[in-house]
Amino acid sequence: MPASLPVRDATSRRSLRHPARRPTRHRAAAPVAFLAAFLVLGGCAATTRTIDPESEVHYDASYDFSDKKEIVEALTSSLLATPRVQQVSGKPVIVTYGVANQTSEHIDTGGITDAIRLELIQSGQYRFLNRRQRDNVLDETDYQYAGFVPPEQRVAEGRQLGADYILSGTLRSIEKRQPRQWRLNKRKLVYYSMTLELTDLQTGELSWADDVEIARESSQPIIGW
Amino acid sequence: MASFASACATPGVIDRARGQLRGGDANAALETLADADVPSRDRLLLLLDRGLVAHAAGRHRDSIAAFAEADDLIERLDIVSLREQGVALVVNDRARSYRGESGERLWIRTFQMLNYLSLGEPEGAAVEARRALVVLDEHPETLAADAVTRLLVAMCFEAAGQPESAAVEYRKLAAATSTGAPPGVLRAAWLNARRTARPDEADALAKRLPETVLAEARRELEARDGELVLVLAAGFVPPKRAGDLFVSADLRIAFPYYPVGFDGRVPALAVRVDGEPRTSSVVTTRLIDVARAALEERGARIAARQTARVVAKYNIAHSVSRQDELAGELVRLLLFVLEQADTRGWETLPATLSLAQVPLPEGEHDVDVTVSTGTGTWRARLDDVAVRAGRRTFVSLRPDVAGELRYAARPD
Repeated sequence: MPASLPVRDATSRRSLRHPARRPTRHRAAAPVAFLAAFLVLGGCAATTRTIDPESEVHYDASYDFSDKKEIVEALTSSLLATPRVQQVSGKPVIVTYGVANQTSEHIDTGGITDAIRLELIQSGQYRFLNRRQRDNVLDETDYQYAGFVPPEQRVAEGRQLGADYILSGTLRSIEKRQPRQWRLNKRKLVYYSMTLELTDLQTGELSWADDVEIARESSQPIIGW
Repeated sequence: MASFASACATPGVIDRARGQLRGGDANAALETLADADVPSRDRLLLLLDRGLVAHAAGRHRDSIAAFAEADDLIERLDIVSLREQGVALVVNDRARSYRGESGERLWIRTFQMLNYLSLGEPEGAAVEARRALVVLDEHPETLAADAVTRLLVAMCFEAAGQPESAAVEYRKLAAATSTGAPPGVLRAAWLNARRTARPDEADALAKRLPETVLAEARRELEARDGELVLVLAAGFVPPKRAGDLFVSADLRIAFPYYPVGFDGRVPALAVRVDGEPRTSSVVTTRLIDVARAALEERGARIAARQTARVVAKYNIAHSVSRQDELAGELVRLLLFVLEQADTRGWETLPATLSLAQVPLPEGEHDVDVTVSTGTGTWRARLDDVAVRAGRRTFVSLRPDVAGELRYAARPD
């Protein structure tokens, strides 16, 4: 306990020498404490905000909605600008066979094909078969011909469209992490490549193909509180 | 003090679930873990157990979700927490968040591959296979003994229609000359080489294959048969134990180790298909070998931290003693008691993981499986197992320590 005595003495001496300062310090401390509490509590508060889907936002190097948007825009504009596919008489009919995911992430590539299909349909230059609904179409047709639906209301059989082209693709990634060594940040480099291709069903020829590449590096500290 | 003391034990809820699984009741274990609340430092253990127990119970979506959560946590735990390091410096390593050994990080991928294969989603399984390769590349020597996981990686690539990627992994497996690649590995590599039109490689592999295995693989290829792949997780990996090294009478270093003598007996597998006995090529990994190597890999870091802790504890006790001798002795005693080895681990892991390849003609088959381990014999009947020509059907099985062979998964 003797060690604390000089400190107590020094404080009391300072107070005696400058009696006017003491209340001033108290007055200054209150707003500082309030500000600190405000900043701490404000920093910890949960927030939600709406983000413009057109904006480019990346929290890390992984695939995200901004990448999907970039891929879809680049590939649809490339396909729409290709004169050879447009020269087919009438609107070409396309069936999509999906995009193979060959990355190290569980990516729903169905979202990419759906968005590309939507863009192409909205361009008015292509028609699409709904392959995903094929079984349901068959079920519904069978139901109509099972005697429950009057003949004049039944869909005519053998009138479905035949596809001219198959739309398919592959999404690949190469990921590199910084080797384990003395460092303050952990870096990760990810390269994505999305290839899309259109195959002529009649000839088997690859009528069109293009790809989009995205490379990104992320860094995060390896020391925290 | 209570907080420090609680840092010395695995949460009771995890222990209870582990006991239920050992008793053969995966569903009860899963229920116990479902709403469990554990300290954040043990959260990874909870997620690992939950993932594996859900897999054993055949609830693959739940298992995938638990393991995915474990992945996110591991990513966050890769940031060194100064607060945790500070506490661990004066208490023990159990005060730190459990991060998982390298082997455990690999086996998350193994069971995720099995989950996706069981759900008939080869593309998802191939994603997990690529992630497994990242872990295998980070710890090439420590994890080299796990032939089953790398074999599964190759099979996932084949299932997803990427035989060239599979070929790379088969080559690595076949080149493992230190222990000699098992016939089951060479057989799968030979089939891949033939199917991807690499005759020279196939010929080289054929020379290393036993005649009977080669003849059977040839029949499978010519008849365009399919294959039933049984993945058998048997027994339980032993828990880590605590060892003590006394620096002085009142100063000790506690460290974790795996007991010697438990090597996980390789289970004997007998398969009958439609009433007829069938031969199978079996590849087995003893997880304890890999777990032991992974712990040894971390040995230098554990030793460095223990040394720093001994120095810190000595200095704390010494400085208190200078003020008050009695208080110093009490602090010394407290720090002595708090010195505990971090023996936490993923204890629901099996002792062995075996992969058996059974060639079968296309169609539906009734399969009888008999598994003999050191603790007993288990039998299971798998009805109407669908096999497609040139494809593999994966079935994951876990014979529990007490109880019947649990039929964990079957693909469509």
